Amino acid sequence: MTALTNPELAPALDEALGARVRWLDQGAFYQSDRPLCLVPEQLYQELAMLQPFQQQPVLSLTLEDPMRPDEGPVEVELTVVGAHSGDSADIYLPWGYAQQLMEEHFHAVSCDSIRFYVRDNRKIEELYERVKGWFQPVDIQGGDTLYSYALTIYDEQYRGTVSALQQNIRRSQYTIPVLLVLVVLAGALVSFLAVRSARRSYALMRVQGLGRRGLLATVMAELAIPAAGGCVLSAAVWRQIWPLVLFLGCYLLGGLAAAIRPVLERPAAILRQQE
Amino acid sequence: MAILTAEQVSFSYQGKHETVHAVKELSYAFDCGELYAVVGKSGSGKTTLLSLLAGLELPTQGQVLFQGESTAQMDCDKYRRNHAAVIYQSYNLFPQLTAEENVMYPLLLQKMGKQDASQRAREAISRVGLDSAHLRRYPSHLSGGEQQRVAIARALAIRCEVILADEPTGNLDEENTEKITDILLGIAHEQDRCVILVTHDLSIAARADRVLELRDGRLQNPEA
Repeated sequence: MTALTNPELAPALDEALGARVRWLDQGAFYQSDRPLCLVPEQLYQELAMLQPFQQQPVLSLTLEDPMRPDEGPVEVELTVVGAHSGDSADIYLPWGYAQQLMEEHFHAVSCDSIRFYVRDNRKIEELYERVKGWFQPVDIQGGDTLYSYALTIYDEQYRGTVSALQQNIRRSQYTIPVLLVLVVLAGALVSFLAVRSARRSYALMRVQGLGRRGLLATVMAELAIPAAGGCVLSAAVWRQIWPLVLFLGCYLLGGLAAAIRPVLERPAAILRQQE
Repeated sequence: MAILTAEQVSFSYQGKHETVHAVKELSYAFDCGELYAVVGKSGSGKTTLLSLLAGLELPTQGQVLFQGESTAQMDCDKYRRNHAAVIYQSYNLFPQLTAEENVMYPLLLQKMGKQDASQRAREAISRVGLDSAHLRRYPSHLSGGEQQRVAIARALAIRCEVILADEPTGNLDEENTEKITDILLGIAHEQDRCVILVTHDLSIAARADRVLELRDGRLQNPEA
Protein backbone atom coordinates (compact mmCIF):
# COMPACT_ATOMS: atom_id res chain seq x y z
CA MET A 1 0.00 0.00 0.00
CA THR A 2 1.31 3.40 -0.90
CA ALA A 3 -0.07 6.80 0.07
CA LEU A 4 0.38 9.66 -2.37
CA THR A 5 -0.24 13.40 -2.64
CA ASN A 6 0.18 13.47 -6.44
CA PRO A 7 0.68 10.89 -9.24
CA GLU A 8 4.16 12.15 -10.10
CA LEU A 9 5.44 10.44 -7.01
CA ALA A 10 4.46 7.03 -8.41
CA PRO A 11 5.71 6.33 -11.94
CA ALA A 12 3.08 3.59 -12.27
CA LEU A 13 0.34 6.25 -12.12
CA ASP A 14 2.04 9.01 -14.03
CA GLU A 15 0.21 9.27 -17.32
CA ALA A 16 3.00 11.43 -18.67
CA LEU A 17 5.20 8.36 -18.39
CA GLY A 18 2.70 6.20 -20.21
CA ALA A 19 0.77 4.86 -17.24
CA ARG A 20 -2.92 4.06 -17.73
CA VAL A 21 -5.47 4.81 -15.01
CA ARG A 22 -9.15 4.10 -15.41
CA TRP A 23 -11.06 6.35 -13.01
CA LEU A 24 -14.46 5.36 -11.78
CA ASP A 25 -14.66 8.56 -9.80
CA GLN A 26 -11.52 10.67 -9.90
CA GLY A 27 -12.79 13.62 -7.88
CA ALA A 28 -9.96 15.01 -5.87
CA PHE A 29 -8.46 11.61 -5.12
CA TYR A 30 -4.96 12.75 -4.17
CA GLN A 31 -6.17 15.52 -1.78
CA SER A 32 -8.99 13.46 -0.27
CA ASP A 33 -9.11 12.23 3.30
CA ARG A 34 -11.84 9.63 2.59
CA PRO A 35 -11.23 5.85 2.51
CA LEU A 36 -10.58 5.55 -1.23
CA CYS A 37 -8.11 3.53 -3.21
CA LEU A 38 -6.68 2.82 -6.65
CA VAL A 39 -6.15 -0.86 -7.29
CA PRO A 40 -4.38 -2.85 -9.98
CA GLU A 41 -6.68 -3.66 -12.92
CA GLN A 42 -6.59 -7.39 -12.17
CA LEU A 43 -7.73 -6.85 -8.60
CA TYR A 44 -10.48 -4.54 -9.81
CA GLN A 45 -11.80 -7.23 -12.15
CA GLU A 46 -11.90 -9.72 -9.27
CA LEU A 47 -13.73 -7.26 -7.04
CA ALA A 48 -16.18 -6.35 -9.77
CA MET A 49 -17.04 -10.04 -10.20
CA LEU A 50 -17.57 -10.44 -6.46
CA GLN A 51 -19.63 -7.25 -6.18
CA PRO A 52 -21.49 -7.04 -9.52
CA PHE A 53 -24.07 -4.58 -8.29
CA GLN A 54 -21.61 -2.10 -6.90
CA GLN A 55 -20.65 0.72 -9.21
CA GLN A 56 -17.62 1.24 -7.05
CA PRO A 57 -16.52 -1.98 -5.36
CA VAL A 58 -15.35 -1.98 -1.79
CA LEU A 59 -12.01 -3.45 -0.87
CA SER A 60 -11.84 -4.91 2.67
CA LEU A 61 -8.38 -5.13 4.21
CA THR A 62 -6.97 -6.45 7.44
CA LEU A 63 -3.93 -4.50 8.43
CA GLU A 64 -1.34 -5.47 11.02
CA ASP A 65 1.77 -3.66 12.25
CA PRO A 66 4.63 -6.18 12.24
CA MET A 67 6.49 -3.95 14.69
CA ARG A 68 3.63 -4.26 17.22
CA PRO A 69 2.45 -7.85 17.02
CA ASP A 70 0.76 -7.58 20.42
CA GLU A 71 -1.75 -5.08 19.04
CA GLY A 72 -4.56 -6.69 17.12
CA PRO A 73 -5.26 -6.33 13.35
CA VAL A 74 -7.26 -3.39 12.00
CA GLU A 75 -10.12 -3.91 9.52
CA VAL A 76 -10.54 -1.16 6.93
CA GLU A 77 -12.90 -0.82 3.98
CA LEU A 78 -11.76 1.22 1.02
CA THR A 79 -13.93 2.35 -1.91
CA VAL A 80 -12.28 1.60 -5.22
CA VAL A 81 -12.32 4.75 -7.37
CA GLY A 82 -10.00 3.56 -10.10
CA ALA A 83 -7.82 0.86 -11.53
CA HIS A 84 -4.28 1.14 -12.87
CA SER A 85 -2.57 -1.14 -15.28
CA GLY A 86 1.12 -1.59 -15.58
CA ASP A 87 3.99 -3.19 -13.68
CA SER A 88 2.92 -2.01 -10.23
CA ALA A 89 0.81 -4.23 -8.00
CA ASP A 90 0.45 -1.54 -5.29
CA ILE A 91 -2.80 -0.30 -3.83
CA TYR A 92 -2.72 3.48 -3.70
CA LEU A 93 -4.39 5.58 -1.02
CA PRO A 94 -4.85 9.33 -0.68
CA TRP A 95 -2.21 10.75 1.59
CA GLY A 96 -4.70 12.48 3.87
CA TYR A 97 -6.66 9.27 4.56
CA ALA A 98 -3.48 7.25 5.02
CA GLN A 99 -2.28 9.74 7.67
CA GLN A 100 -5.55 9.46 9.54
CA LEU A 101 -5.44 5.68 9.35
CA MET A 102 -1.89 5.54 10.65
CA GLU A 103 -2.55 7.99 13.45
CA GLU A 104 -5.79 6.38 14.61
CA HIS A 105 -4.81 2.76 14.45
CA PHE A 106 -1.01 2.57 14.31
CA HIS A 107 0.05 5.57 16.43
CA ALA A 108 2.14 6.85 13.58
CA VAL A 109 2.69 10.47 12.74
CA SER A 110 3.70 11.30 9.21
CA CYS A 111 5.91 14.18 8.40
CA ASP A 112 8.40 15.29 5.81
CA SER A 113 11.30 15.50 8.18
CA ILE A 114 12.12 14.94 11.79
CA ARG A 115 14.51 16.98 13.80
CA PHE A 116 15.09 16.33 17.43
CA TYR A 117 17.61 16.82 20.16
CA VAL A 118 18.61 14.17 22.59
CA ARG A 119 18.57 15.74 26.02
CA ASP A 120 20.64 13.10 27.69
CA ASN A 121 23.70 12.20 25.63
CA ARG A 122 24.15 9.07 27.67
CA LYS A 123 21.03 7.67 25.98
CA ILE A 124 22.41 7.89 22.42
CA GLU A 125 23.09 4.16 22.27
CA GLU A 126 19.59 3.42 23.54
CA LEU A 127 18.22 5.70 20.82
CA TYR A 128 20.18 3.78 18.20
CA GLU A 129 18.71 0.51 19.40
CA ARG A 130 15.15 1.76 19.36
CA VAL A 131 15.14 3.58 16.02
CA LYS A 132 16.82 0.85 14.03
CA GLY A 133 13.48 -0.97 14.13
CA TRP A 134 11.93 1.97 12.33
CA PHE A 135 14.63 3.49 10.20
CA GLN A 136 17.22 2.24 7.80
CA PRO A 137 20.82 3.10 8.53
CA VAL A 138 22.46 5.31 5.95
CA ASP A 139 24.55 2.67 4.22
CA ILE A 140 24.33 0.22 1.32
CA GLN A 141 23.81 -2.81 3.55
CA GLY A 142 20.46 -1.65 4.79
CA GLY A 143 18.97 -2.71 8.11
CA ASP A 144 16.49 -5.05 9.67
CA THR A 145 13.42 -2.85 9.42
CA LEU A 146 10.65 -3.10 6.87
CA TYR A 147 10.43 0.64 6.62
CA SER A 148 12.22 2.50 3.90
CA TYR A 149 13.15 5.79 5.54
CA ALA A 150 16.64 6.46 6.76
CA LEU A 151 17.74 8.31 9.84
CA THR A 152 21.04 9.99 10.30
CA ILE A 153 22.02 11.00 13.80
CA TYR A 154 24.52 13.83 13.87
CA ASP A 155 26.53 12.75 16.86
CA GLU A 156 30.03 13.10 15.54
CA GLN A 157 30.83 16.07 17.74
CA TYR A 158 29.34 14.37 20.78
CA ARG A 159 31.23 11.16 20.12
CA GLY A 160 34.42 13.05 19.52
CA THR A 161 34.02 14.92 22.78
CA VAL A 162 33.13 11.77 24.70
CA SER A 163 36.06 9.94 23.19
CA ALA A 164 38.42 12.73 24.20
CA LEU A 165 36.94 12.76 27.72
CA GLN A 166 37.29 9.01 28.03
CA GLN A 167 40.91 9.26 26.95
CA ASN A 168 41.55 11.92 29.58
CA ILE A 169 39.86 9.82 32.23
CA ARG A 170 42.04 6.85 31.31
CA ARG A 171 45.13 9.04 31.48
CA SER A 172 44.06 10.38 34.89
CA GLN A 173 43.77 6.89 36.23
CA TYR A 174 47.47 6.39 35.55
CA THR A 175 48.47 9.92 36.44
CA ILE A 176 46.78 10.18 39.84
CA PRO A 177 48.93 7.56 41.60
CA VAL A 178 52.04 9.20 40.19
CA LEU A 179 50.85 12.60 41.44
CA LEU A 180 50.20 11.22 44.91
CA VAL A 181 53.70 9.79 45.07
CA LEU A 182 55.09 13.16 43.99
CA VAL A 183 53.07 14.86 46.74
CA VAL A 184 54.53 12.45 49.29
CA LEU A 185 58.04 13.23 48.04
CA ALA A 186 57.35 16.97 48.02
CA GLY A 187 56.04 16.72 51.57
CA ALA A 188 59.15 14.84 52.61
CA LEU A 189 61.47 17.35 50.96
CA VAL A 190 59.74 20.46 52.31
CA SER A 191 59.47 18.90 55.75
CA PHE A 192 63.08 17.79 55.70
CA LEU A 193 64.21 21.36 55.00
CA ALA A 194 61.88 22.80 57.65
CA VAL A 195 62.93 20.26 60.25
CA ARG A 196 66.60 20.67 59.45
CA SER A 197 66.49 24.37 60.23
CA ALA A 198 64.88 23.67 63.60
CA ARG A 199 67.10 20.79 64.76
CA ARG A 200 68.63 22.82 67.53
CA SER A 201 65.25 23.85 68.94
CA TYR A 202 64.05 20.26 68.85
CA ALA A 203 67.22 19.10 70.64
CA LEU A 204 66.65 21.77 73.27
CA MET A 205 63.07 20.59 73.77
CA ARG A 206 64.39 17.10 74.40
CA VAL A 207 66.92 18.42 76.91
CA GLN A 208 64.10 20.25 78.70
CA GLY A 209 62.32 16.94 79.10
CA LEU A 210 59.99 16.69 76.09
CA GLY A 211 59.59 13.00 75.29
CA ARG A 212 60.04 11.46 71.85
CA ARG A 213 56.31 11.16 71.26
CA GLY A 214 55.75 14.74 72.35
CA LEU A 215 58.48 15.93 70.00
CA LEU A 216 57.01 13.96 67.09
CA ALA A 217 53.60 15.52 67.80
CA THR A 218 55.18 18.98 67.96
CA VAL A 219 57.04 18.54 64.69
CA MET A 220 54.00 17.12 62.90
CA ALA A 221 51.82 19.95 64.21
CA GLU A 222 54.33 22.50 62.88
CA LEU A 223 54.21 20.82 59.48
CA ALA A 224 50.48 20.16 59.42
CA ILE A 225 49.08 23.51 60.50
CA PRO A 226 50.30 25.60 57.55
CA ALA A 227 49.40 22.83 55.10
CA ALA A 228 45.96 22.40 56.63
CA GLY A 229 45.41 26.15 56.51
CA GLY A 230 46.23 26.13 52.82
CA CYS A 231 43.82 23.25 52.25
CA VAL A 232 41.00 25.06 54.05
CA LEU A 233 41.52 28.12 51.86
CA SER A 234 41.63 25.96 48.74
CA ALA A 235 38.47 24.15 49.81
CA ALA A 236 36.73 27.50 50.22
CA VAL A 237 37.77 28.56 46.71
CA TRP A 238 37.42 25.28 44.78
CA ARG A 239 34.68 23.70 46.90
CA GLN A 240 36.44 20.34 46.78
CA ILE A 241 37.14 18.58 50.06
CA TRP A 242 38.16 14.97 49.47
CA PRO A 243 40.94 15.65 46.94
CA LEU A 244 42.40 18.15 49.41
CA VAL A 245 42.12 15.69 52.27
CA LEU A 246 43.98 13.17 50.14
CA PHE A 247 46.62 15.73 49.26
CA LEU A 248 47.07 16.69 52.93
CA GLY A 249 47.36 13.04 53.92
CA CYS A 250 50.04 12.36 51.33
CA TYR A 251 51.89 15.55 52.23
CA LEU A 252 51.91 14.63 55.92
CA LEU A 253 53.02 11.11 55.11
CA GLY A 254 56.08 12.62 53.49
CA GLY A 255 56.40 14.97 56.44
CA LEU A 256 56.34 12.05 58.86
CA ALA A 257 59.35 10.56 57.16
CA ALA A 258 61.23 13.82 57.78
CA ALA A 259 59.89 14.23 61.32
CA ILE A 260 61.26 10.88 62.46
CA ARG A 261 64.84 12.11 62.25
CA PRO A 262 64.88 14.71 65.06
CA VAL A 263 63.00 12.26 67.27
CA LEU A 264 65.70 9.66 66.88
CA GLU A 265 68.68 12.00 67.05
CA ARG A 266 70.72 12.39 70.23
CA PRO A 267 70.11 15.94 71.52
CA ALA A 268 73.46 16.18 73.26
CA ALA A 269 75.27 15.50 69.99
CA ILE A 270 73.31 18.19 68.16
CA LEU A 271 73.85 20.84 70.81
CA ARG A 272 77.53 19.95 70.94
CA GLN A 273 77.81 20.47 67.18
CA GLN A 274 76.28 23.90 67.54
CA GLU A 275 78.64 24.81 70.37
CA MET B 1 72.53 8.89 100.46
CA ALA B 2 74.05 10.85 97.57
CA ILE B 3 71.53 12.38 95.24
CA LEU B 4 73.48 11.40 92.14
CA THR B 5 76.02 8.62 91.87
CA ALA B 6 78.27 7.44 89.06
CA GLU B 7 79.36 3.79 89.48
CA GLN B 8 82.20 2.63 87.26
CA VAL B 9 80.75 4.65 84.43
CA SER B 10 82.35 4.32 81.01
CA PHE B 11 81.18 5.78 77.74
CA SER B 12 82.50 5.02 74.28
CA TYR B 13 81.32 5.99 70.82
CA GLN B 14 82.36 5.34 67.27
CA GLY B 15 84.36 8.21 65.89
CA LYS B 16 85.25 8.70 62.22
CA HIS B 17 88.22 6.38 62.24
CA GLU B 18 88.27 4.74 65.68
CA THR B 19 86.35 4.07 68.86
CA VAL B 20 86.55 6.98 71.30
CA HIS B 21 86.54 6.17 75.01
CA ALA B 22 85.28 9.48 76.38
CA VAL B 23 84.80 8.41 80.00
CA LYS B 24 86.59 5.51 81.66
CA GLU B 25 85.45 3.76 84.83
CA LEU B 26 84.41 6.90 86.66
CA SER B 27 82.92 6.56 90.11
CA TYR B 28 81.73 9.49 92.20
CA ALA B 29 78.87 10.48 94.48
CA PHE B 30 77.28 13.95 94.32
CA ASP B 31 75.37 15.43 97.25
CA CYS B 32 72.85 18.24 97.57
CA GLY B 33 74.04 21.51 99.06
CA GLU B 34 77.37 21.52 97.23
CA LEU B 35 78.82 23.02 94.09
CA TYR B 36 81.08 20.66 92.16
CA ALA B 37 83.51 21.97 89.55
CA VAL B 38 84.63 19.54 86.86
CA VAL B 39 87.86 20.68 85.24
CA GLY B 40 90.18 19.27 82.61
CA LYS B 41 91.60 19.90 79.16
CA SER B 42 89.46 19.92 76.05
CA GLY B 43 88.50 16.36 75.14
CA SER B 44 88.96 15.05 78.65
CA GLY B 45 85.35 13.94 78.87
CA LYS B 46 83.80 16.73 80.95
CA THR B 47 80.84 17.43 78.68
CA THR B 48 80.28 13.72 78.14
CA LEU B 49 80.18 13.21 81.90
CA LEU B 50 77.57 15.95 82.17
CA SER B 51 75.48 14.33 79.43
CA LEU B 52 75.65 11.02 81.29
CA LEU B 53 74.59 12.64 84.56
CA ALA B 54 71.72 14.41 82.74
CA GLY B 55 70.46 11.18 81.20
CA LEU B 56 71.11 12.50 77.70
CA GLU B 57 73.41 9.54 77.13
CA LEU B 58 73.48 6.14 78.75
CA PRO B 59 76.78 4.65 79.92
CA THR B 60 78.21 1.84 77.82
CA GLN B 61 79.39 0.35 81.10
CA GLY B 62 78.48 1.01 84.70
CA GLN B 63 75.49 3.07 85.76
CA VAL B 64 74.35 6.49 86.83
CA LEU B 65 72.00 6.46 89.79
CA PHE B 66 69.59 9.23 90.74
CA GLN B 67 68.25 8.66 94.24
CA GLY B 68 69.28 5.02 93.87
CA GLU B 69 67.53 4.48 90.53
CA SER B 70 69.57 3.83 87.42
CA THR B 71 69.10 6.18 84.48
CA ALA B 72 69.13 3.13 82.25
CA GLN B 73 65.94 1.93 83.94
CA MET B 74 64.09 5.22 84.25
CA ASP B 75 62.29 7.54 81.85
CA CYS B 76 65.12 10.01 81.25
CA ASP B 77 62.77 12.58 79.70
CA LYS B 78 60.77 12.59 82.92
CA TYR B 79 64.03 12.74 84.92
CA ARG B 80 65.04 15.91 83.08
CA ARG B 81 61.56 17.38 83.32
CA ASN B 82 61.38 17.05 87.08
CA HIS B 83 64.78 16.42 88.64
CA ALA B 84 67.66 17.63 86.51
CA ALA B 85 68.25 20.82 84.53
CA VAL B 86 71.03 21.56 82.09
CA ILE B 87 72.56 24.98 81.46
CA TYR B 88 74.79 25.51 78.44
CA GLN B 89 77.57 27.87 77.51
CA SER B 90 75.51 29.32 74.64
CA TYR B 91 72.41 29.77 76.84
CA ASN B 92 70.20 27.75 74.46
CA LEU B 93 67.06 29.79 74.90
CA PHE B 94 64.22 29.47 72.39
CA PRO B 95 64.62 32.58 70.20
CA GLN B 96 60.93 32.76 69.35
CA LEU B 97 59.85 32.87 73.04
CA THR B 98 60.17 35.74 75.51
CA ALA B 99 62.25 35.38 78.66
CA GLU B 100 59.16 34.56 80.68
CA GLU B 101 57.97 32.00 78.13
CA ASN B 102 61.39 30.36 78.04
CA VAL B 103 61.25 29.84 81.80
CA MET B 104 57.63 28.66 81.58
CA TYR B 105 58.35 26.03 78.94
CA PRO B 106 59.63 23.22 81.21
CA LEU B 107 56.85 23.98 83.68
CA LEU B 108 54.27 23.50 80.94
CA LEU B 109 55.95 20.19 80.13
CA GLN B 110 55.25 19.28 83.77
CA LYS B 111 51.58 19.89 82.93
CA MET B 112 51.42 22.94 85.18
CA GLY B 113 48.65 25.44 84.48
CA LYS B 114 49.61 28.52 82.48
CA GLN B 115 48.91 30.96 85.30
CA ASP B 116 50.85 28.96 87.89
CA ALA B 117 53.70 28.53 85.45
CA SER B 118 53.78 32.26 84.78
CA GLN B 119 53.82 33.01 88.51
CA ARG B 120 56.66 30.60 89.16
CA ALA B 121 58.60 31.88 86.17
CA ARG B 122 58.40 35.44 87.47
CA GLU B 123 59.66 34.33 90.87
CA ALA B 124 62.59 32.47 89.33
CA ILE B 125 63.51 35.39 87.08
CA SER B 126 63.50 37.80 90.00
CA ARG B 127 65.64 35.38 92.02
CA VAL B 128 68.41 35.57 89.42
CA GLY B 129 68.44 39.35 89.64
CA LEU B 130 66.33 40.29 86.62
CA ASP B 131 63.37 42.62 86.91
CA SER B 132 59.94 42.52 85.33
CA ALA B 133 61.13 44.62 82.39
CA HIS B 134 63.02 41.57 81.15
CA LEU B 135 60.00 39.28 81.16
CA ARG B 136 58.62 40.30 77.78
CA ARG B 137 61.96 40.60 76.00
CA TYR B 138 63.14 38.12 73.45
CA PRO B 139 66.61 36.59 73.85
CA SER B 140 67.95 38.69 70.99
CA HIS B 141 67.18 41.76 73.10
CA LEU B 142 69.03 40.49 76.18
CA SER B 143 72.74 40.66 76.94
CA GLY B 144 74.79 37.48 77.33
CA GLY B 145 74.70 37.73 81.10
CA GLU B 146 70.95 38.28 81.09
CA GLN B 147 70.39 35.34 78.80
CA GLN B 148 72.42 33.07 81.04
CA ARG B 149 70.42 34.25 84.02
CA VAL B 150 67.21 33.38 82.20
CA ALA B 151 68.69 29.93 81.53
CA ILE B 152 69.45 29.56 85.24
CA ALA B 153 65.96 30.82 86.12
CA ARG B 154 64.57 28.10 83.84
CA ALA B 155 66.50 25.53 85.90
CA LEU B 156 65.37 27.10 89.18
CA ALA B 157 61.72 27.22 88.18
CA ILE B 158 61.32 23.45 87.89
CA ARG B 159 62.72 23.10 91.47
CA CYS B 160 64.95 20.26 90.41
CA GLU B 161 67.44 18.64 92.73
CA VAL B 162 70.31 18.62 90.24
CA ILE B 163 71.61 21.46 88.10
CA LEU B 164 74.24 20.63 85.47
CA ALA B 165 76.03 23.57 83.90
CA ASP B 166 78.39 23.17 80.95
CA GLU B 167 80.72 26.18 80.84
CA PRO B 168 77.96 28.61 81.83
CA THR B 169 80.35 31.55 81.94
CA GLY B 170 82.32 30.64 78.82
CA ASN B 171 80.81 33.50 76.76
CA LEU B 172 80.63 36.08 79.54
CA ASP B 173 82.89 38.87 80.70
CA GLU B 174 84.53 38.89 84.11
CA GLU B 175 81.78 40.82 85.84
CA ASN B 176 79.01 38.59 84.58
CA THR B 177 81.10 35.50 85.29
CA GLU B 178 81.34 36.58 88.89
CA LYS B 179 77.59 37.23 89.12
CA ILE B 180 76.64 33.91 87.55
CA THR B 181 79.01 32.03 89.82
CA ASP B 182 77.46 33.80 92.82
CA ILE B 183 74.01 32.78 91.68
CA LEU B 184 75.04 29.14 91.24
CA LEU B 185 76.73 29.08 94.62
CA GLY B 186 73.60 30.55 96.15
CA ILE B 187 71.47 27.87 94.54
CA ALA B 188 73.74 25.13 95.85
CA HIS B 189 74.09 26.39 99.38
CA GLU B 190 70.91 28.27 100.11
CA GLN B 191 68.49 26.11 98.19
CA ASP B 192 70.27 22.84 98.93
CA ARG B 193 70.69 21.78 95.34
CA CYS B 194 73.39 19.69 93.75
CA VAL B 195 75.15 21.95 91.22
CA ILE B 196 77.72 20.37 88.92
CA LEU B 197 79.67 22.86 86.88
CA VAL B 198 82.03 22.13 83.99
CA THR B 199 84.55 24.90 83.60
CA HIS B 200 87.94 25.88 82.20
CA ASP B 201 88.04 28.83 84.55
CA LEU B 202 90.22 28.02 87.55
CA SER B 203 88.89 31.01 89.47
CA ILE B 204 85.46 29.46 89.42
CA ALA B 205 86.88 26.07 90.35
CA ALA B 206 88.57 27.72 93.29
CA ARG B 207 85.19 28.85 94.63
CA ALA B 208 83.61 25.40 94.27
CA ASP B 209 83.07 23.09 97.22
CA ARG B 210 84.59 20.15 95.38
CA VAL B 211 86.79 19.96 92.29
CA LEU B 212 86.91 16.93 90.00
CA GLU B 213 89.73 16.77 87.53
CA LEU B 214 89.32 14.66 84.43
CA ARG B 215 92.20 13.59 82.32
CA ASP B 216 91.68 11.43 79.27
CA GLY B 217 88.29 10.34 80.58
CA ARG B 218 89.52 9.30 84.01
CA LEU B 219 88.89 10.99 87.34
CA GLN B 220 92.16 12.12 88.81
CA ASN B 221 91.23 12.81 92.41
CA PRO B 222 88.35 10.53 93.36
CA GLU B 223 87.02 11.14 96.85
CA ALA B 224 84.07 8.74 96.71
